[in-house]
Amino acid sequence: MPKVYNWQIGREMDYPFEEARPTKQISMVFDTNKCIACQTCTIACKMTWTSGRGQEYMFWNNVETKPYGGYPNAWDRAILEKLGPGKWTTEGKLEGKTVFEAADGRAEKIAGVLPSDDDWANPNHGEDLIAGGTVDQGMYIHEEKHPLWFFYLPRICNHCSFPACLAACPRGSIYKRPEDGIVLLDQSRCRGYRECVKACPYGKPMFRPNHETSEKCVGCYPKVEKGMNTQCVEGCIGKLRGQGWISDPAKGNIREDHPMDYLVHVRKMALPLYPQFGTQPNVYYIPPVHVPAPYLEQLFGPGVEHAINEYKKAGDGDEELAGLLLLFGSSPYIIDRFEVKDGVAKGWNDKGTLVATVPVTEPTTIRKHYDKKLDVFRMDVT
Amino acid sequence: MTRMTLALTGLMVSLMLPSSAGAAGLVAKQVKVAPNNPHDAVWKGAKATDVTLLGQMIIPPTGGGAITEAQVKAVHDGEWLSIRLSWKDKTPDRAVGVDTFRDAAAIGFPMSDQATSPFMGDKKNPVAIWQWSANHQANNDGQSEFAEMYPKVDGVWYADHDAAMSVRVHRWRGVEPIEHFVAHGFGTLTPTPDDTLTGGGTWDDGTWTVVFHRKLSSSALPAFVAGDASQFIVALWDGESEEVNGRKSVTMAWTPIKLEK
Repeated sequence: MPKVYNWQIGREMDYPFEEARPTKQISMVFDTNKCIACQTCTIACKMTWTSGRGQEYMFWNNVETKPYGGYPNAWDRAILEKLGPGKWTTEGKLEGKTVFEAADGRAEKIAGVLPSDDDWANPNHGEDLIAGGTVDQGMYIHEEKHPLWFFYLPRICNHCSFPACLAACPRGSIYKRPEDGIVLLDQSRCRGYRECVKACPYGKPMFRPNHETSEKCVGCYPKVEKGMNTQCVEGCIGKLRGQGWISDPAKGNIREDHPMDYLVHVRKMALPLYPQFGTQPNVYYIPPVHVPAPYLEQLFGPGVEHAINEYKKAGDGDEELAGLLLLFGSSPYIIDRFEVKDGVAKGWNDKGTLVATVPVTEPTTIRKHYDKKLDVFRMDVT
Repeated sequence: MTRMTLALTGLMVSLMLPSSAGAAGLVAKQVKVAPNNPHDAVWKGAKATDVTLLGQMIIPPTGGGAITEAQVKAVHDGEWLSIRLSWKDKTPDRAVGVDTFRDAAAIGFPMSDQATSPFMGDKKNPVAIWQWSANHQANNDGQSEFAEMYPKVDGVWYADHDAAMSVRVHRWRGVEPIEHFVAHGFGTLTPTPDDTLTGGGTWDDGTWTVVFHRKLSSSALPAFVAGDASQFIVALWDGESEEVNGRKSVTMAWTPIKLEK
């Protein structure tokens, strides 16, 4: 099997195909600290793409509660158990098997777990379930630390650099577009074997029984081709999603003025989900600040502590970071370059057109409780 | 494994194993009317050939092997050819769900006189594959396994374009009990039309019986001629054993078939 270099696990790994990087790679950063699981992203996606018969339980975008939630049920636990234990060295190298390395190569090409019909039927299973003890421990709102925790994890297809779905399909029905790195499934070629459904460690290709074919997130490619953000990114009312092209660190062309490069490669505060799977996912997460580190490290790899420390600087006067995070959700267009200067964050698309301007601190006016001119009392003074 | 070694493996396996039906092979007797019905009285007078199948071991994902024996009969009437395949299967698996798999059967013929791999042909010499599937059969018989497994829910809104989309996907995916394909080796199965290929099957008392019915000369190759010989391969999938894709039982060599004149 050819060897490819996966920077997220700090080493070379086996992959059924030679390394072939797209010209541009779609990527996203989700700030988990801002997600309230309103599911607007889920519905924006569903109304656009999966509103048909046979797609009732199909959510290309979903938001689950961690640690107990999962769609499909316990998807991450199932594959973690199959892969067995592993660990990260102090240099951030993975000592453990990826989904490509854990497979026997004969009976299965990729180590995977096929979720059952029932596993897909509870998209919001485990919602708001807390971890870390019972309420008897006490969780006063005035307490400095929360002993109990959970957080929301929004998920879409990761449009991986080394897609397991693509590697598993015996028919070559899945391909990664060279122009933007979006991973697509050709339904005219698909025979519904469910190899991709089984192989994707993130549970993101889904089977549509009445069509006898599999389907997956299409990265809203018609919008991306027009330089626009995907439906889930644009629809996010919490403005926690940023979208853009990401550079491959092996090429050494990381740009400090690029939103994704800056957060992922320069500040290293947005981390891949389960990098140990080895598919090099291209959706990155700013980890939640209140969740115990061991759990976060299992989810996001070894850079969690650094990421959280960096993130906290946004509230401590790091204007550039605060400004960049405010650009999330501030334009329907994909921002390719940003600048934060004199209290204003600006974003340009890849044609150099200014597509977003946001003040780092929202100007506020405080009005008097009593308005003399109108002789009224105001309930709302800001 | 490279394509070349795969092809060689296939060749070696086919050289090592004798034709499972012996040198005589299957004879398609000439009858008055070749039936498109697995239980027609004509079949009683047709001689059966048994074929042996093994789990597919050549290309990942390997597996299958739940069904190891099948019986084949053939008749023709100078215009139509009927091939009847029957095998024992305790459970008829007619539904398809995420983790629910259907029973299926396929029979393949070389598309020309050129020798080709018994593992779905090779790059130069394709194989015509006639595939029957139990879920399509059930739908055709008016049983909607899908509607039972995934009942429609009141109050759920379905997009206007959904019906049109279904028509489009079903054109790619096929809905007939028997579909026609051309293959140039594993992983290359491609649906292509054959204007006269039809047939169907039933499950009775632990046995599937399926008839493949086609004009000797149809819109797709091969063309059969009374008096001539050809050869065939068989593949079976047992849904209950989660067989799908390369997880299937296959004949390891070609079985000769001769059309009586």
